[in-house]
Amino acid sequence: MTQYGFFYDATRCTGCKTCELACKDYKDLPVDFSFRHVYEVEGGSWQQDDAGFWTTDSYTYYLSMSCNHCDEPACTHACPTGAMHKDTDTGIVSVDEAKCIGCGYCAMACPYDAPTVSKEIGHSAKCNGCAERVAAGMQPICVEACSGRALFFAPIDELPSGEGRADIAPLPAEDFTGPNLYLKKCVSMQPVATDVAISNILEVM
Amino acid sequence: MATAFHELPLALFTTLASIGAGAFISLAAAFFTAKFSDGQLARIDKMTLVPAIVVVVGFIAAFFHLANPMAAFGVFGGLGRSPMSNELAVAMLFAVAMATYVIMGLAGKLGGARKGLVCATAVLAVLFAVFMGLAYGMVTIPTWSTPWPVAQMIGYALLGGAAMGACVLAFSDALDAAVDGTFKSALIAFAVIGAVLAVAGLALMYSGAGSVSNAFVAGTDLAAGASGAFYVAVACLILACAAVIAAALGKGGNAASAIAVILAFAGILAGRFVFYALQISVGISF
Amino acid sequence: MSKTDLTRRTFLKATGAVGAAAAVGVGACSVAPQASGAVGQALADEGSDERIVWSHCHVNCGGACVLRFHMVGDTIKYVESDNTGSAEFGDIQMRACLRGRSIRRWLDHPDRLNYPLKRREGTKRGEGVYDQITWDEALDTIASEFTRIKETYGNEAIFIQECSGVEQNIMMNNPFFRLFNLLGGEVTRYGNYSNCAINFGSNPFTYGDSWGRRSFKSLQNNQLVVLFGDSVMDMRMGGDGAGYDLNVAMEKQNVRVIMIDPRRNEVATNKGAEWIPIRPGTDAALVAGIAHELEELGLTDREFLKKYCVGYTEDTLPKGAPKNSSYYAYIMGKGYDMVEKTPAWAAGITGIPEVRIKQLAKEIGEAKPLFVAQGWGMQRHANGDFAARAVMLLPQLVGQVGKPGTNAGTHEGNAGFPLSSLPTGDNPIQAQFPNYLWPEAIKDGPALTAKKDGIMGADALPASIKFLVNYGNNMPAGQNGDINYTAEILRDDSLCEFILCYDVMMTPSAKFADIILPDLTPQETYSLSAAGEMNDSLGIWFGQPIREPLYERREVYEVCGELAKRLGVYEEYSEGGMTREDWCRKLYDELREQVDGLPTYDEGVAMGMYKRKVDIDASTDPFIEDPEKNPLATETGKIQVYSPELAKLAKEWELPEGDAIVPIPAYVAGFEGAGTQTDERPLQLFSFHYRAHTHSTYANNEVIQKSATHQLWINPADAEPRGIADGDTVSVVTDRGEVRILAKVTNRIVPGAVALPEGGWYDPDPNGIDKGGCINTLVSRHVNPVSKGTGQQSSICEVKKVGA
Repeated sequence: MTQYGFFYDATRCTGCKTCELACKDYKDLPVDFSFRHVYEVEGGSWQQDDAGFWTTDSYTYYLSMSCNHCDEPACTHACPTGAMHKDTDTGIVSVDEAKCIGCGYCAMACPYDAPTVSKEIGHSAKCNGCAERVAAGMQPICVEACSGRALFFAPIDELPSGEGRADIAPLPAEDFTGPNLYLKKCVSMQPVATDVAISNILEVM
Repeated sequence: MATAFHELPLALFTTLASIGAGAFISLAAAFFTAKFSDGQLARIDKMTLVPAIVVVVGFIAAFFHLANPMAAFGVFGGLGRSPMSNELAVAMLFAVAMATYVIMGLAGKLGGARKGLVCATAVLAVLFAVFMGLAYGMVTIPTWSTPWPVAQMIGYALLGGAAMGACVLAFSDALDAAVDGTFKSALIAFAVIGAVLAVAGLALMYSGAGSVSNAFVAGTDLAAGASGAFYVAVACLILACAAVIAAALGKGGNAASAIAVILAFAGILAGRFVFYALQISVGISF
Repeated sequence: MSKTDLTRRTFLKATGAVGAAAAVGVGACSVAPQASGAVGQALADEGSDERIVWSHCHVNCGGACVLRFHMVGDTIKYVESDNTGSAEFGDIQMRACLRGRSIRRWLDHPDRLNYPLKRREGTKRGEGVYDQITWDEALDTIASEFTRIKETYGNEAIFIQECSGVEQNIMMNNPFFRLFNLLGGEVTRYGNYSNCAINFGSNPFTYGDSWGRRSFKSLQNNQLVVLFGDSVMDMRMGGDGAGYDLNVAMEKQNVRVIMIDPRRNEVATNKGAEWIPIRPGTDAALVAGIAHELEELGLTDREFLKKYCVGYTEDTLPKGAPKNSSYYAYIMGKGYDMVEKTPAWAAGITGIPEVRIKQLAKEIGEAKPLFVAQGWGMQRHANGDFAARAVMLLPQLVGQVGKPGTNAGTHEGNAGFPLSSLPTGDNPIQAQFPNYLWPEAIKDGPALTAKKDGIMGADALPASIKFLVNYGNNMPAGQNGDINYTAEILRDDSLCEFILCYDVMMTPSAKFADIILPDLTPQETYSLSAAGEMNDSLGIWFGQPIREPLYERREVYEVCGELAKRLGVYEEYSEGGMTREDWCRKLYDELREQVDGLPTYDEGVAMGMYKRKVDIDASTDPFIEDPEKNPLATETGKIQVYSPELAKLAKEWELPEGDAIVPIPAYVAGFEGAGTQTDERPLQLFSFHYRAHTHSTYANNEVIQKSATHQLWINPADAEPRGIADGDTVSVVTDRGEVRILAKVTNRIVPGAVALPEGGWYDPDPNGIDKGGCINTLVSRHVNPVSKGTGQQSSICEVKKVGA
């Protein structure tokens, strides 16, 4: 199998969300529903000294993420019907809409908030790596949309070199599912289990 | 608690299924330990329709949870891999056994097959409860990925089943006869063991949530949000246990067993709310 | 939902090509529209008649990014952007940002205007009750009102507002100017909401014009960049914009960036610029503190200051300047205020610790080259005229202007083709007023004078505005400060007797019009545009209509032609019947005469877009080479730390109580500036350009708002005492009005200040509380003393929680 994956160069990302919106346009997703999310992560605090001056050790970093097409996907493991499946040739995890019963287990299980299941949609839905575009020799719409060239999608051994799989807060340790999201980290990124907050919850939930 | 209410169909399913299925455990014990007249047996067989209906209503509630129920026949596709497929496979086996037993009972054709069939149904009911507990064993949800949900579901089936079983017998004018012998102890044992498993399972899960958090929620906040439901659950489960004991001791008559069922229902449903409210991912999940 | 499903076979076949799949087009300059078209069609469902139409995004972010519309009939399937040439980081693709990529839902938004509308008899302006009328009735009414008002009050009572919403292609609102100029002209404005202080209050007095601007493309390896509120990665997000240039330079040239801003903008998030949080509007104090420390360290470039500048020290002051009026005297405590501008003094005003100011001075003093640039938010404070000049002074102090790798402390520069717009003819009326003061020009025009209000071309405005053309903007109840005040003026139809709104959406401003006309968007008509200032690139977009007009929407050139027919000037207006497309050809052909190597118009249309590599400016400025031979356009011919022109204005102009004009870039707090807070209004309030919209354009496009929510930014240190949690609804109150909005409790803003993105749509409830989160409900009419430009960034407020 040739495992495909995303590479996110965090040092080039400005958090603009063009990836997310280009996807929503191309996939014609409803307003409240997104395959890709740009998380705004904050940590640290402000302190006031005796003279009244404020200083801060706070930091902010973005993480653009959709489905990570994991090696051991929690979603396919939970799926009772096999609708959520991992392609044996490309490693892309996608939903067979006809098979899906919409039980929601995939959404519960996924620690990357990739699948969404709702009565409106009628089944689970998530990023399929724009398989049809890739098949036509193009890049996924998000990758081609990124003005900072921060996103890549390719067989994982052809991705740019970075610091390996995504293992930063607020993500789980990579060994839960083996996400095929590879990173070049920006300076402010914090290790797994650091006490950080997602500061744009309204935008990503 | 918002998540919990979102999961209302599943909370109802697991509540009704555990009470309904659990009834067959108590009934099996009754048939093995007590002597009933033919009239009593006929009435019991008719009244057994009630737990069966409770189970069926539970299945229907689960059906409403699905975004695409029309494709539900595919749920066994993940047998062996998907805890949900496994759960539903066991559920189906149980349902077949239950249906066979209930229909034969209604037709008056159980005869010598009664003990065998009810025993098989009861064993499958226990298995069903175990697999309901295992259905949520997702490593990415640490609050659920513990033995406690299994303990809870077995507890619910034993306690809720004892209540429902006592109720079936009581409204068949057969409870007095049943508790005349060892069944009294069996019923009390089911209720007490069930209550202990349920309450302990719930409490351990509830207290354990405090040590889990992600960037979106802290387990302590979730636990605080579910504290009302938790205390309601614990209180109702203990009271339900007491009501079953009262019924087993022949006190309170039909009312005691009916109250036991109502309390068990309230307690288990509240417990299920607590369960769903404590869903917390190792990563990002809203 | 998804496109054609992938079969395993096709995917495997494609696998080998994936590595190089990004480059769909070929070559850097020549594009391959056929290839791109074929790719798009390959994606279309079998048997569909999908076609690709090239156009561009077209709102006043300062740019225009390429859009490729995938059309089936009148339906937009989806939108892509520039995919020509190399997709490598560092190479140029004019990739549209989230705004352009979401344009499909905006173009078919329910707020679109579809028919001409007339305000219902008996309703007041602002109520928004309209009846559909025919185009003939609408045009007849406009023509007859124009004639009546012109004959009653004169052409001086006619005014056409800035068209911010469509300020990009060759057309804009020029047809109105062209038409009215044929009929006796109209009163005009100078300046705009964007950069009035820098253009009219700073540059003319410092460099004479916008001298010395260079793009981030000209940065040198390993150099230092100091930015004052220049949030290029928030607002100029296209794949060829200033944000991209800086992004590339930070990675490829190891450029170090210091960002001085009250808000941690996107240059200081993942990109890792060092953020120095500063109290809003105190930049000039920081510069003074740095200047003092540079003197302490002996790092001031005295030789440069003496040779190229006037007024830094006493010995270079221009003739007639009083003693101790130099900037040096000012920082050393001998100036007009007799206060020494030590770093400790600056720390007290800016909130930046003294030690950091000292360190910053050292870094600046030792950096060669040094690139200093400012955004435009800073100069929209009530003290912006001087703050902008102060930031310009910073690189002058260390001799870092006019040389490779430098910038003159102004906004960074950009490339672009010199494409002309539709000629507007000659306007015989000379009188001009500062853009911000149009409500006052409606209320009582003749009360506005040259010395008090900056009227140009006349001692006072000859007339009040009686006929207002509000084309392609949302100013009346959107972009202009103090909407509650402005709305009162607009509601009174004895003041402005006729208001025409001509737009694409039913905006809050449209609801104040007497007649509303439905426009086509630039994507629905011929739109020839050069890459704008957001796009730091050389490009021409040959926008073609994506579809035939829907409903009764019509474009502005044709409609002004219809008015010209009614007013008897059609032949002159249209130069014998030229269409909008004819003008695109004509103006493009004029550009081809100036610029070598451009394709023909028809070739351009076939390509959809044309782009060319930008030459990087690595030269030393002629003024620096020889200042005597190549003087600047200032009065002294030099860089003016001390401006004799400003000294003159300080004596002659009448200013409101508390305002002052200073000839040197001194720090003045200004109206509702830092330190003016009260117990009732303890917080500073400012706005910023948010990615979710450009001004108010696209702010009604829900799909963007979901992903980039309009919220009030507040520091936890200010939120916690007020019981405000992230996501709570809060009330923001100033002396002008009240806004209700969701709070974003974030470390990204300096304590003591709150920030509300500009561009929310004014949505007053019956009590006048704005539920739309429009910053201009809250800000004042106070203008800068010199430029008379907006002081919209200076407000003090209180914030309270009103709901969870």
